[in-house]
Amino acid sequence: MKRFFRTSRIDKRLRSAAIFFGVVVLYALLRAVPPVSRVFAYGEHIVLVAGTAVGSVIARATTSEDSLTAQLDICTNEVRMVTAQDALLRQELRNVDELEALLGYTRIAAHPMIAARIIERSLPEAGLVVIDKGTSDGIVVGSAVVVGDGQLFGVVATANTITSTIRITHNAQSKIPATILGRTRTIGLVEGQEGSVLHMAYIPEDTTIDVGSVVATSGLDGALPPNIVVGIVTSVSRQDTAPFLDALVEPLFDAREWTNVLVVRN
Amino acid sequence: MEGIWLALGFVCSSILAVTLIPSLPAPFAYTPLMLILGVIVLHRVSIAHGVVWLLLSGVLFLHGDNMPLHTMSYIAAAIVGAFFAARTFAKRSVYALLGLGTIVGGVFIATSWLGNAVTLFFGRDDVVRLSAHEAQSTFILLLVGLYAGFILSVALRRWFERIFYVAAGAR
Repeated sequence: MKRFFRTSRIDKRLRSAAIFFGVVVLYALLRAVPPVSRVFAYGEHIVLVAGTAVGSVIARATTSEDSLTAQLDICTNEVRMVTAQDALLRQELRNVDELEALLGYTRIAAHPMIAARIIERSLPEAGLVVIDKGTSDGIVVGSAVVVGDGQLFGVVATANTITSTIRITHNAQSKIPATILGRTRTIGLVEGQEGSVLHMAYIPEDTTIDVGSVVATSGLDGALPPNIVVGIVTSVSRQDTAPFLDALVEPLFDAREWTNVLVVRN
Repeated sequence: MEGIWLALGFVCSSILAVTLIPSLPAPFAYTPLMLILGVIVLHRVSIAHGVVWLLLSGVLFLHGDNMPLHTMSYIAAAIVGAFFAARTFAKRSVYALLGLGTIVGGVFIATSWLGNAVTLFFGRDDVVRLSAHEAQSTFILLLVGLYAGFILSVALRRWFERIFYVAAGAR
């Protein structure tokens, strides 16, 4: 009987499944060791970059740029980008003027940044990505994460020794105190919602906010530096039952297109 | 050796599932790669390997923030899949594979929605819920993936058989 079980097909299958389980668990344990993890993270980043390129090709192939809607989208995006740049330049100019007038020299406040690679993505709705830098690299939970020329990508949600999870601005848990670029008073809370458009809530009724205004971090909660662009206001509505305005804010980036980010050390 | 090859396949596909697949535009981003391969392993390799594949998919790699919900869905899929693979869909035909995929996919989505209902009941907002259109895309892509996987696995088996036959003949 013993001999039967030792050599039976079922026994072999179970042994093989146990080996399968063991090897995968060993891989999971090895991933927790920093040098090995770095190697895997680099490999994963390369696959992610390849996936992003493939995704862009598919998106381009399935969206005809000849269609009027596609052309309108392209033009609208360009207008948004130019509006954001214009607002940033105005803000910079005002800063320069103020500082020159008061102190006689120009001082640009710069925060040290940590460059990181995205190594994992969640499903689009989840709005989470994993980067290859962790607490051993100086990452702190709550730090701002930016892409491009300083657009807010998200906030560090969790950090372990070697990797960190970023909560992208459109994640449903994301809540960012924000203002209109150039103002210091927090005028609302930008929250993530289903889809890529953000919802700005708790805007006092007496606030002047127009479609096309650039929304940026207020910096008053202490965790995020001020004046990081969050997006552009696309619509404003009034709440019937509360003394607040609501606004929809469209980010200036597509989270799926970015494979590298900067974590701001505040 | 089979276990080691499967483990390597699992590691590679888990990397693809968190890097390449979510980078694709919708609906391709919803491709349930680990579930597709889990069902194929369950049906074509062995029930034990398939169950291990599905359980590891739920526990180790995907959706760290959503772990309890996804783990529950994968455990339910593994249990139901093992039962139906042994009893109802034991034949190695494409129809049996698609039937098994339909049952496993249905259980996976139903369990996810059950988890959604539980989290809603307890007022938990910190979990990502499976939306109707995501579930629909996942289910369709699961069946398409199983069909493509079946064709690929048959072609690969024939190719390997031909190679080993030639090698045996040469010897």
